[in-house]
Amino acid sequence: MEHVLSMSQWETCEERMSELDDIDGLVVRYRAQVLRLVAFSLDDSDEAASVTQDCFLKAYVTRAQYRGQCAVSSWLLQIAYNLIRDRVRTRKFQFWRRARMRAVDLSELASQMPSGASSSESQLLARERVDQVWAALRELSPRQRSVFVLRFVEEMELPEIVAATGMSPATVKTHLYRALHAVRSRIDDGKKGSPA
Amino acid sequence: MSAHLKPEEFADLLLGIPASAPATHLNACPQCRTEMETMRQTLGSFRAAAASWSEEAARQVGLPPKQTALRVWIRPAWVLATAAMLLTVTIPLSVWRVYNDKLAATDVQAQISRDNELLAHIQSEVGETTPTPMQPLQVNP
Repeated sequence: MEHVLSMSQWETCEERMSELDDIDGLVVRYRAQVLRLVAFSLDDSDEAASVTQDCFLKAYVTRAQYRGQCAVSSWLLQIAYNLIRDRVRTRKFQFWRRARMRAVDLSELASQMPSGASSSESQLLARERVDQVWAALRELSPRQRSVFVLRFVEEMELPEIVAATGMSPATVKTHLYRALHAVRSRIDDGKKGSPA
Repeated sequence: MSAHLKPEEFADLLLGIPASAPATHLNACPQCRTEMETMRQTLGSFRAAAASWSEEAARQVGLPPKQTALRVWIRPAWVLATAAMLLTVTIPLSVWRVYNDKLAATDVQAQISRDNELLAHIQSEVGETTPTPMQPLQVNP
C-alpha cells in the first residue's frame, strides 16, 4: 500500500530537507552530537574530529538523497555510524595507530559535569560514577559503544537505533545488554572498593 | 518474594521495554529499586557529562563556518587533482593553438607571394608585343 503523507508531514519533510542546504547552521547545531558519538565509539579524539568533518561533508554532498523521512539528527548519526564502521575496518590494518592515537580523556568530561544544585559530596560521587561508566565502555567494542551512546546519551528509541545502524533489533538488544552488564559490574566493583 | 531481577529483566526495564512481572518485582523489592535508581542517576550523569564535554570539544575542533571553506578545506586533494588535470589539458592546448595560428599566418603570406609572382609572370607575358615563338625573327631597330 502506498504511504500518503498528510500536509503537515509533507511540510515537516520540506523543512528538514531545506535545513540541509544551510551547512553552516547544520554544523553549529549538530557537531557536538556527532562528535560525541564518534569520539566515544572510536575512543580517539583526533580521529573523531576528522570523522565528524567527513560526516558533515558527506551529508552536504548527498543531501539530495535525504527525503525528510527521519529527523536530520538521526540522518547525520546514521552517516556518522557508517563512517565509524569504515574507520574501524581500516584500523585493523593499522598496527602503528595505537602509538599515535589520542584517547578520549573523560577525566576532562567528569570535571566538566554541570554542578547543578547538588552537594559537593554527591557531585564527587557522580563524577566517580561517570568515570566508572567510561572505564566499563572502554572495555567494549566500538560497535557496542556506539549502540550504548545512541541509546543512553542520544536517547534514541530501539527502532531508531536499528534504522541508524542497520543492525537487527536482536543484535542491538544484545549489545545493550552487554554494555549495561559491564557498566553495572563496574559500579558494583566501585561500591565494594569504596570505604563504608 | 521472588528472586531479584535477572540482568536481562533489569536491562529491559532500563530500556523501557514493557514487562509486567519485572515491573511488579521492582515495586516490591527495595534492593532492586535502589539499584535501578542508582543506575538511572549514573546514566543521567554520564549523559550530562557527555553533552558538556562534546560541546567544549566541538568548540576546540573549530570546524570552519563557511560552506565554501568547508568544501575546499576538507578535501584539498580533490581540488588540487582537478586543478592539475585542468592545467594539464589547457596548457598544451593553448600552446598548440598559438603555434597553429603562427603556422597558418606563415602559410598565407607564402601563398600571397607565390600568387603575386605568378601574376607578375603572366603580366609580363601578356605585355609582350611579339609572341614568344616569333621573337627570333624580329628585326631589332
